[in-house]
Amino acid sequence: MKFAGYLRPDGSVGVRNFVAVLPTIGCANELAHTIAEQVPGVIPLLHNHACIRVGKDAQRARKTLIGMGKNPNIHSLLIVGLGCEPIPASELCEEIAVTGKEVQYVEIERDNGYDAAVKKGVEILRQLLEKASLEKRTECDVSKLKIGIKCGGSGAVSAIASNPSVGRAADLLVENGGTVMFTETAEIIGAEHVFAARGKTPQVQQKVLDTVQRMKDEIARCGVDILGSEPTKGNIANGLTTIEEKSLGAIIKGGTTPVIDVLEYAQEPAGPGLYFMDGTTQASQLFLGMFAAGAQIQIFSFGGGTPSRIRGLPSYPCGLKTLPVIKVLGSCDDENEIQYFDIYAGNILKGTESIQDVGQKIFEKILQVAQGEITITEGTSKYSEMLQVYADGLLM
Amino acid sequence: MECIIMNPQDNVATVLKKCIPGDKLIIADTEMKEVGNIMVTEEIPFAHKVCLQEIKEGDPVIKYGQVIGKAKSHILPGNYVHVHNVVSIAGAGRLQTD
Repeated sequence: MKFAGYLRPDGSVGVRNFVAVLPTIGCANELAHTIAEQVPGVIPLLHNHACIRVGKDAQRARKTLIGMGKNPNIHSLLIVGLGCEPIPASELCEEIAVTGKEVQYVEIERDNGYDAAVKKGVEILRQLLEKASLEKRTECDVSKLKIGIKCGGSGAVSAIASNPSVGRAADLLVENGGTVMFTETAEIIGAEHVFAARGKTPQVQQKVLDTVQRMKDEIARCGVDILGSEPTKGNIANGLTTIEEKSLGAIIKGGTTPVIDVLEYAQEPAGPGLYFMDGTTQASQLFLGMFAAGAQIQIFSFGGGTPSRIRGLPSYPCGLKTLPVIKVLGSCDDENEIQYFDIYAGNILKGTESIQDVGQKIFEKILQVAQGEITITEGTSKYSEMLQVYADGLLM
Repeated sequence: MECIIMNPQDNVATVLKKCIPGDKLIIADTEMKEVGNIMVTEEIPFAHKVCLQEIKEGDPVIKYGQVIGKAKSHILPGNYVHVHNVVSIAGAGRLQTD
């Protein structure tokens, strides 16, 4: 099966063709913003990485920034730096350049100050944008697609309509040689025995259990009651009673194929198939981890019940303009909200459509979006937020 | 569909309409096949759970054929099942030191 995408020098395929500006560190955000503002059409990827991160979190941030640059939805990019940051612009440039894509940098220290860096950056971006405009889509195999999956606004209907439909689409993509990643470690708690059994090898099964155990140990160490966060107040209002119930419904969204491996946040999968990524449930941090791992498209499976008013936010979850999001609505309780979604799965609850039908529609939508069709969010919202790199350790 | 049971072993089901006491619901399985019915004895919001079989205090609440928590009180068929009468036992939702 084929789709028309942007073939990159390293063999990966973009579904979009952005020129991006990537700061080495949050302190360089203003420089990135100022440069990007003068070249309409480029995407500033402002983020919150800072010198306050140490150890594992600092390594994770490094991996995230490199992964963002490498993602095939980015045609080429300009790195902007200061000269005093932990990941120098030159180093970030080299790491990303292994993909064969064009990546240049400006740096306040090297380039004689802020104003000179702005001027130089604008000139570079204009050239990159011109080159990007000459790129054409070519026929590419569906096996080149990597998608991320997340659920949100979850309720009891998520497990009946939206998550199994998304899971069906995930199965179809894996059957066609593609790659699927999903995450949210907290939402495996209580379902880890069921989910771990799907690991491809005993080692992967153990890795799933260890990953969940680490989160459970951390909850114990903090001595907190997670009720109200897992499940959230909205989840409870939507009919979910315990984290076990939520998790058992959440794991359905990954489909039914074996779990090839457990990835770290922002880690690129080694091959095709279904992967679980260790990480947070927070949408924007999660999307960034998926994008840095190479996802070209993200699916957001919404459950619902009236209290989930996040469903009506045109941009939610927003922030990462370089990763198109296909939003799926599971609930049929408020049909006025269908307009905010790319796919409606609520007919499953009425018995007028099957999970297979809606799963097929989602799979077809993935291919259409991969070929350039804009998503509801892309078409209705300009809103963006500073990207947040996931951290779970000591902050100085 | 009015009410869905996710696994034949479950002692709760999800209602797919807003229920009032006295409502008699047809229960369907995930293949949309009719498997029985239940008389609702309390108000239950859309997509929340109804008890299908008596659950004694401390006994497991089963959905998807899995334990999703334990009963905090005696729950009767037709009762509304939610955070007021069920508590998580997976370690989450409770202080581990409890």
